Amino acid sequence: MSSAGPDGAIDVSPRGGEPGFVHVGEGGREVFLPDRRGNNRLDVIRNLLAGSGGIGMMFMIPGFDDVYRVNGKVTATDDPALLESFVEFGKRPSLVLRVAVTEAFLHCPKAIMRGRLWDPEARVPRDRLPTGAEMIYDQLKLGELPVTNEQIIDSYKTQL
Amino acid sequence: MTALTLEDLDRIYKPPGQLVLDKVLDHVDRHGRAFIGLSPSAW
Repeated sequence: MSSAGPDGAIDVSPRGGEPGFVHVGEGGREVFLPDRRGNNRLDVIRNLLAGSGGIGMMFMIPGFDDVYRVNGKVTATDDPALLESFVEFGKRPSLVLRVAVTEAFLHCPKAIMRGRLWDPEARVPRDRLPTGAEMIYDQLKLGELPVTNEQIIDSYKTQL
Repeated sequence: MTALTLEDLDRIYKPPGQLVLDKVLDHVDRHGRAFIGLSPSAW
């Protein structure tokens, strides 16, 4: 999802969960997105609360070349009852973004088709690049990773 | 490199078709609801 801050600076950030982790309100005029613990940069959310509140989102389904886009204006809430309705992985989200929908439409599949995103033959073997952690350690000249990639992935799994 | 202006876009691109304009709704309809219901990712 993307947002612009008061200075016009843009941020884009992905969100994920079980299918249907984003709820659509009655009448389709509102969409509710849970925000779960991440790295606490809060780039997008800070933009939304400090800027115009305008948000752009696109929803994807594995295997589908179509993309569904929703644009709107955001308000954020930490209302306990609402948070409780978004429990996933045994945890409540930190807050929920309520999006008042202004535009909603299906985006044509050409971009995904060009990129062959879901084509098994277009999959890139993971060992073509270092892991994300390895790249960050190298970028920051921190030397060897003190843990294995498997340990990092395992620790992420407990933080979902 | 020349920086393009908004007017240049009309020279480079054709206008969108009517269907492309008309498909934009002001709400999430039943198809959008079903799509979001199957989606594990929002970008």
